[in-house]
Amino acid sequence: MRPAVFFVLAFATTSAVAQESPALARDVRSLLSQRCFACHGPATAKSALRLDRREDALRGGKSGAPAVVPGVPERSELLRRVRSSDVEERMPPIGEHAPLAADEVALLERWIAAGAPDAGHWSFAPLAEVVVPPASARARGAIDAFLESELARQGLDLAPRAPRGELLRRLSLDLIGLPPTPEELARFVADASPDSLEREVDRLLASPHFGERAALPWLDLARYADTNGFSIDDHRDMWAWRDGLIDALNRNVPYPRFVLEQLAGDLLPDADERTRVATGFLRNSMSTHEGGTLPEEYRVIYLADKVDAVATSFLGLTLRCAQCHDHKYDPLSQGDYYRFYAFFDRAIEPGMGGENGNAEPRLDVRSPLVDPERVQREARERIATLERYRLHPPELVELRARWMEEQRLRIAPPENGAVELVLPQWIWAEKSPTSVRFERTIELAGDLRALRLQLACDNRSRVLWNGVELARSDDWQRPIVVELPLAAEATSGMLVVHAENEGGPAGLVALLELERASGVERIPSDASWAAFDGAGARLATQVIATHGEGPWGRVLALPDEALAAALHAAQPSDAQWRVLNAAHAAVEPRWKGHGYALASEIAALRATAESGRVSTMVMGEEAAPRTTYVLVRGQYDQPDRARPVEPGVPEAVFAWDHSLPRDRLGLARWIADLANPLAPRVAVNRLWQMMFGTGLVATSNDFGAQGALPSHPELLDFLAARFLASGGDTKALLREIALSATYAQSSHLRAEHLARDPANRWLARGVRRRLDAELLRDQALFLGGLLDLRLGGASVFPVQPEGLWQELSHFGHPAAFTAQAQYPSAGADRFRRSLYTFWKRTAPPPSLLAFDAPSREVCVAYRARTNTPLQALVALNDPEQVEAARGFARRAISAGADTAERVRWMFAAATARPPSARELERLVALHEQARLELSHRPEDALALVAATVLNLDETLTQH
Amino acid sequence: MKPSPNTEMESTTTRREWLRSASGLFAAAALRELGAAPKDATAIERAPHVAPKAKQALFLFQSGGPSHLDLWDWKPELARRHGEELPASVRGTQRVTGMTSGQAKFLVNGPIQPFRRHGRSGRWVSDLLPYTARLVDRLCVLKAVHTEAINHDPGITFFCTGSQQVGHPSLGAWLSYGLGSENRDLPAFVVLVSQGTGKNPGQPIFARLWGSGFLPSEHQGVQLRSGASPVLHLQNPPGVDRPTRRAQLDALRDLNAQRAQVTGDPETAARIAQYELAYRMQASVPELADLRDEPEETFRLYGEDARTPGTYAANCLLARRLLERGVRFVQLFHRGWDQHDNLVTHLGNQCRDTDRATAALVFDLERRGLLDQTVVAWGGEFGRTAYSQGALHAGRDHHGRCFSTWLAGAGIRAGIEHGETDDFGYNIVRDGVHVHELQATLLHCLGLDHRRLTFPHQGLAQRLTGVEPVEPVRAILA
Repeated sequence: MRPAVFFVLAFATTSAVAQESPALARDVRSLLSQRCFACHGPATAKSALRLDRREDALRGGKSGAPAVVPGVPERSELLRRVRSSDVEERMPPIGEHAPLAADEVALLERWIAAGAPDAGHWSFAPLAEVVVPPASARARGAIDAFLESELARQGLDLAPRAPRGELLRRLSLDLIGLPPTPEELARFVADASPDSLEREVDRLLASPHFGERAALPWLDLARYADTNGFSIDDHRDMWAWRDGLIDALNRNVPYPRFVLEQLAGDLLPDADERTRVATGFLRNSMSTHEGGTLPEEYRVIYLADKVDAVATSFLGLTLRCAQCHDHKYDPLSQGDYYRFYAFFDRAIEPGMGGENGNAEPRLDVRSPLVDPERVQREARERIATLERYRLHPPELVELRARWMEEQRLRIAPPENGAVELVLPQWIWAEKSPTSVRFERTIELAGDLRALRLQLACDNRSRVLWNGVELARSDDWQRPIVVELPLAAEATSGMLVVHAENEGGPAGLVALLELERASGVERIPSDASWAAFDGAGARLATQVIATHGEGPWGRVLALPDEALAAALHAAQPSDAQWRVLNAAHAAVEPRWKGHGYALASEIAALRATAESGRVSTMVMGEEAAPRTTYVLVRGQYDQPDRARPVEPGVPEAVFAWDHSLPRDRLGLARWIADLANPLAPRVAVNRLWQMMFGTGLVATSNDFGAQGALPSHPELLDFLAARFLASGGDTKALLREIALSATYAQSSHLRAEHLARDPANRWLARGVRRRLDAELLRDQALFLGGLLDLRLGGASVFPVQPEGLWQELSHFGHPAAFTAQAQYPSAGADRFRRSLYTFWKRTAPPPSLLAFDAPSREVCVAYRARTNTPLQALVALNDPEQVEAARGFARRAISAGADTAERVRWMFAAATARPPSARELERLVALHEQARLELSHRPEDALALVAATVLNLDETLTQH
Repeated sequence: MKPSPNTEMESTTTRREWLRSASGLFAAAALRELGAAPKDATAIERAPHVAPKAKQALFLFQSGGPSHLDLWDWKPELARRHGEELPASVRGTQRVTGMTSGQAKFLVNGPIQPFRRHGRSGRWVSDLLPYTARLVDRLCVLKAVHTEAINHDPGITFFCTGSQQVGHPSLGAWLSYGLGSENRDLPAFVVLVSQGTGKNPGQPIFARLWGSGFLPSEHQGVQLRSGASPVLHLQNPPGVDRPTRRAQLDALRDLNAQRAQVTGDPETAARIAQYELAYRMQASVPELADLRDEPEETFRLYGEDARTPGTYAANCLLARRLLERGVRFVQLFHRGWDQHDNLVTHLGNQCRDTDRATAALVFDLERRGLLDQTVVAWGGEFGRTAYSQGALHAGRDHHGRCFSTWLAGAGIRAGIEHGETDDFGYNIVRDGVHVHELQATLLHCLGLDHRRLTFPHQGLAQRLTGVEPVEPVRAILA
């Protein structure tokens, strides 16, 4: 280990004090930080006094009196001032600050008496070499030994073991995010072999769903989302990064390597597609392309977000504080901030973000979880789903039905039966050459009497028929109607529309009508019409919209009988629906919005549907590195030219190793370095939080002076050291936690728990906590037999209340942005695991938000757990939950012969224990009441019971 | 040593402990209902910090940036100089948006409609706001509000959360955190959204504008929507009627209570209480949103638009009903005030959408005695430029340097103006009011000292009004 950290342990007058001194110094530092540093700390030193550094405290401030005289409390100004009864003198000053409590004053006195030992800030000190305390017979390892020794100090004791069923449920939810199946439960409960628990833990850690569960905290830290976040908040593609994350966690990539890949996978000597994709961690920052934006302002915002995410996720530092001024509590100066920032300032990061997709730098990549065929197939299926919405937008279906009814009264059925008109389509030539020739060969066989062309072209254009120019057009709203002359002997003719490109891709809509004695044949424009550029090279033709439906309205004259036929068709064909939609769109403006929105959604999927690859944003360095300056008060436009900074780290935390390159890879290595005191503590704490709901350091986002102190500092250091020694083996650490007696305790609360440790910091009992949002939804769908367990792939769109996005978004704007309206997925994609839910940052999935999921706008290391009536409304009434309850009841019917058996099965599946006789009775009574008193059909009554079981506090809680 | 009270997690714990020791488990659970008192122990200790004049608040947020020069800030000089180049000395070197920074000319745009004096106070108001003009003696018009942002997203985020950086709690979330609710059956903070007929679609708005940021999520605003489920998933699923739901909840309560005796988990009691509150909301919210009990006179007052769910007028009427029922804070968002082009028609439309119902709401609150206990604010994220964007009278660009906002009701001096801009409505001459000062003023009216309404996050005692010292605008306090 490298020596060089900021503070050294000092002074120990007696051995007893020496024993106590690290804890004492830590507590005092915490107290001083909470109560004093704001005025006498790193950023502000009122009366020239700083209390955050020992030598300053010994020297004292302006008054000249030493604030602290080691070993002599009565001569220490600090103690005199906090005790003073003179309000003019007393510290903290009167006003907003309360005086110190008696126990706080006593703590200071004890500390000074002990020689004012200085441990510095605990988390910046090297990992302490700790000795595992002696343990009881119940202990299964070092974790239990540390816990027991603290419990003994607190006068508490480990609780009895949790019943096996509950333990398996706890493990399964913690490690794979799903409850155990009834079969798994039965097997485990019956398995008396001594290694049964280990086998279960190993099974769960080896499950491909482990990566999905372990990804959840990382998605919050990485502020992963499927939209750009600011302003228009259109879509982006980052799911390849998300799949890479799940894959890395499943492969148990050693933590130091994981850090290198996430932060600098592009700069590694062995960089490949996979490691480059991993750098998406940094590109998950929100972005904007709001009109009028100054790109540099937002580039700074994106960089600041990266600093925040990296400092919080990997170091537990609230570095963000120092963006505008020196940190008030931690030794983080503004210079430190911009040195850290400088690592990212050299990357390519456009201030104007991507529009309907990703900004540079980006790669088209494969997902490590999904083969390209599945990616292609799913993109094509999504396009087909969106095409169905184009035909039948959910919010317009009812309106259209009403309109059709009215029209049927006004328009009689056509006399000669069904006339099916295939509507012409607006076609564009992709790319933007200076001119485009659309060509179409027309068969002229049969008794053709006349041939007529209707054409609208949104560019200046000429119409040539067999090489002869017949017409010109320069106004798309006034279509041309041209009779095309028929030569006597010709069996085919060549129609050419020559369009000049002025300011946008060339597009047209056309309808050819071939008149015969037998009737009229119509040839509409569609994707089969060929297009060529000026040099004769073939161009792909793209359908932009169906005539009439899309943004451009109706310009061509279409036969009336087609509408009449469609209106009166028993089951209109898709072509007829298009005719109807076009006519309805003429009176209902909302069609326009869906036209724009769906065209943009479909366009965004085309490349993936063709290639099976998806775009993802990655890091890349600028060719010529920028000079980074300290920004005055964090203002993007106020670089302090006198203060250029080189990339660097807060040296007060951990010294820079001068053999490292001063780039992102160097930074990643510095974080992943074995001797960095923060990184392993933060990593281990996060895993503890995953298993116990709360970290050993409760403020998992803040290991600084204002953060919470670790509940078990020795254990934290022990685990951090163990983690390092294992090379950063995440699964091994989780395994050790999962197999500890501490983890396996019953979660029942006894009176002494509530009295002595209501927050369960000492873990004298198992943890009870409401399931996280994703787990809660997944569990209901899983129990209902609906959950689709496929791994990875494009994000999906579960059904949510209609219109939630439109109300807030830019829906309806002709610029046609993506992700402005939510179009639910079809089929099984509605019931994928919640981490695959498409995340729109300005309108996050409401049923997940209700259960404390963050918006994913900023890095979040810890979710609060609230308990609100809106949660009850979701769990009882969200159609997904209702469907899950129905599925649950269906499964129960096949699992049991009578109501009691079915109820027992459901209860056990949901809570991992059989119901008591009273509980069973109560639920059967509800079933009877529903059936007899409230006249529900038997299956509805059972679904009601199923919903009740799904809403039991015990089902919603991990315990 | 006891756990430090100064961290996110621990303060939650402290709150729970406090509630538990104070009231026993079940009482605590009841207190923690959304309606009753989801406040932090520290806030409970401290609030009110000053004598409150207002119990409730209403913000009529006009999203997009209404033109102060065409509505409130009468500048005859602009009319006189219509079409002339805006003097460089006025324009200065300050930032303009990328949308007009490249313009060759910055031609002065006169107001699009005449202004007249109104009320005893003789205040100038545009003819675009005939209804609000009649109430001008009840208003306090702040003419020199200024903000730090110049584009919509940062501007509206700053105005609604006190920070351009995302992740901060909204004004309403702070109020919910600091004051809780007066009504046990309704949320403390309700949001109503409408789209204007001016610019359609208006600039997007975001859930973060009523989000809880780093506060616990129970403080986020609840959006009340038009339609059958004004609150998401308020309606029982098909086939479940109210007696069935009651039977189900009875069973759920029995089972949960039985189990809680075994597990000893006090959180179970809280869950039971929340399910019961949800059940009550299923009755109270539809009753609240059902306008059939309103007399015809209401619609004569608010206008016929108030019959159409989802309009600004309907939302104004709902706002009154919410305030009547004790909801702490109601915030309307009306979109479409972003007149870069079509200034004349679109601004006219926006005013037609809002003017009558705004005035009706203030008047209605007053006659019901609610204006005495409610502080009301009207305004958007910034104003608009004195110079024309594009051709004359075509449009105006964003202007954050000065713009008009009005306040009214409890705690506010009525019938006054505060602040003054230059002859072009482009720069502040005196009594500028920073957005943070406006926020501090609103909190003050509600009995909260903005410096003491704090929450520990990211190593700082965070507050709505940021780190730079500001004061409430004393001159406008009643």
